[in-house]
Amino acid sequence: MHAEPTKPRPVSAFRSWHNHMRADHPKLWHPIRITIVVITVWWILFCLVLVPTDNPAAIVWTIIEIAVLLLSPFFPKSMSLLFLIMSQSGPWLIPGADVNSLPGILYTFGMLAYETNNLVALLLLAYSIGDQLFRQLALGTSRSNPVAIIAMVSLVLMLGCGLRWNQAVAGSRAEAEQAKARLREMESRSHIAEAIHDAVTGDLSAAAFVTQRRIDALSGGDDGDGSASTDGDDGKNADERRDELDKWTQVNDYILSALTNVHRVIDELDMDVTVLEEDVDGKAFSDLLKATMAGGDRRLRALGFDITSILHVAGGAPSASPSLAGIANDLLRETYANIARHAQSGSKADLSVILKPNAVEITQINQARTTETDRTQSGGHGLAYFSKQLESHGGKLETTLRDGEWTLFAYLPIPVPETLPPLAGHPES
Amino acid sequence: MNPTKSAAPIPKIHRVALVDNDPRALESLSLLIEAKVPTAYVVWTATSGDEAIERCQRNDDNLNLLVLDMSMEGLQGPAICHRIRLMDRHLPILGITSFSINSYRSRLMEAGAQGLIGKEDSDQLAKAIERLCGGNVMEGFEPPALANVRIRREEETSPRLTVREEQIIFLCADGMLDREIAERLDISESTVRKHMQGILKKLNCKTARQAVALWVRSHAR
Repeated sequence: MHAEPTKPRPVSAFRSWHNHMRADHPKLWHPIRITIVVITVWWILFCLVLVPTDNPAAIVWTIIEIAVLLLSPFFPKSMSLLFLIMSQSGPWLIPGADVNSLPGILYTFGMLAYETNNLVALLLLAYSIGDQLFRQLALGTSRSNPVAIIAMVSLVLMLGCGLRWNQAVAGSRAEAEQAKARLREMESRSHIAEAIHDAVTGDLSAAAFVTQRRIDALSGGDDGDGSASTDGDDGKNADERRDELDKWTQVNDYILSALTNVHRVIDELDMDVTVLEEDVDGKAFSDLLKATMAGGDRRLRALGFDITSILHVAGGAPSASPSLAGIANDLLRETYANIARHAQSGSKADLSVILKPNAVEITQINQARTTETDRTQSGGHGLAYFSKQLESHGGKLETTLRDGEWTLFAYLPIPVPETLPPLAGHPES
Repeated sequence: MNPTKSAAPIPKIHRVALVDNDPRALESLSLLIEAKVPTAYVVWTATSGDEAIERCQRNDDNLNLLVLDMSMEGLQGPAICHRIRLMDRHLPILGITSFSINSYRSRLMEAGAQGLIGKEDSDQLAKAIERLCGGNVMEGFEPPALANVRIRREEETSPRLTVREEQIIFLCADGMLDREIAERLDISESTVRKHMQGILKKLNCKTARQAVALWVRSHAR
């Protein structure tokens, strides 16, 4: 049996440093760019050694040019432009500061063409042509072949533009691939959600309906004052009926709980809040809540409730972050689940969601089940959690149960971003 | 034996109140209801918002519907609706207007009404009155009880500005600069800016323009 040789620690340390530099400092970790900068700096130093100058100002100028080149990976546009200005103006300002900086000039031309746009590249080419013609024809000072210079500049500029275009195309392709992958994942989740819905919720809803009808029938047989005097048509006395009612109520609660949990799973599979990251106008958030309300209405109607829901945008939908949108949407789903669990079977329930530019409000009322009293009203576990969530964001959740009517009001403030379009006004008549 | 039996008269069971600052419009509406809504009759009319609010507050008429014109002198229709809804959770309110419905729809919904209809089509108006008297609401509007709960809770929950902050925000809405506001209120410019920072924080806004627009919109009643 051969044991795997353990890698020496310096190698793994280097690898992790390498990965860290690539991920966190992409501008610094660019081998080709660094190589070109190093070659250019060495060229300048070599020229300085080859043709030394005794003017200290020229030496300082050259050192500054080298420093600017070394900073160019961090500040490509500004340092490239500064180097160009220095290399062009140096010979005029300081005698002796005319070190051959052609590699540096070509490097900065290419960098500017890569970092900016085609118009800048054209302007640089025009400048280069004008400069060479001026030196050749007007001043007569050019010692090099202007055609070769212009050809090199053109090639470098085209290379910069080509690399930029290539990067943009690669970026678009990567985004398209990511979008495709996300779409495939969403389709898959949607299919799973549909399959679960078809397989389970229909039967659970039917079971809930049957148990609720049985509960209503048994509740109708009581005297209403708890007395155990009357026998029902089925031959059971009031105590037995009460016992059976309790059991049916328990079964109903289990079915509704299972239904709620299945719907929660379905909603999780269907929902994708990542689209909200760029939701400046609040449309995606508004659509998310609309979809939740449509699904909730459908389920409650299947359970026999008479539900009326409204979503109203008052002056503009809020641009909610994914976390706030998730809280609002989950609270809405919990509100629907509470109606299914606690509202009187077949009763009317009303729900409204108001979207304001800086807040979301959810208001809901329904008739609670007659078996529940003010003291025993549950449904608080989920709502207690949301109450804390809302309070942590400066919001509020209030519920009341009075004279058999349950009310809920939730207020969640949402920060207004600077990029929000102007609020919709109301034309005065 | 009488061979021809006349049809039994339809009982007038729906009590309706009308609010419009134009007495002629009130008369036309009354005649319309008499002619086209057989189950309803007009209990009282009012030409001002204050009068309407006072009568609704007394609540001794057992109304089934309040028909409210949007364009009123002084307190406008949505503001009247808001005040009535704040104190009454049962009375349906139908807004009517001669102008474009879109200009009032959103505000009236937020004020707690149950519908809005144009005055120009008398048949549609009659149908809307009948519908709301029957306990229904028009699409996009809340039932009265739900609107009452929401509006009452909003009054308690909405961010409260101090008196000074309100003064500053309304002066901003009039287009005054910080310097002008400071002169008007006899405070320093830096104090005005400090108050504005407080306003932005309370309203969750990033710019003064947004804060002013939000506040004025929600308090233009």
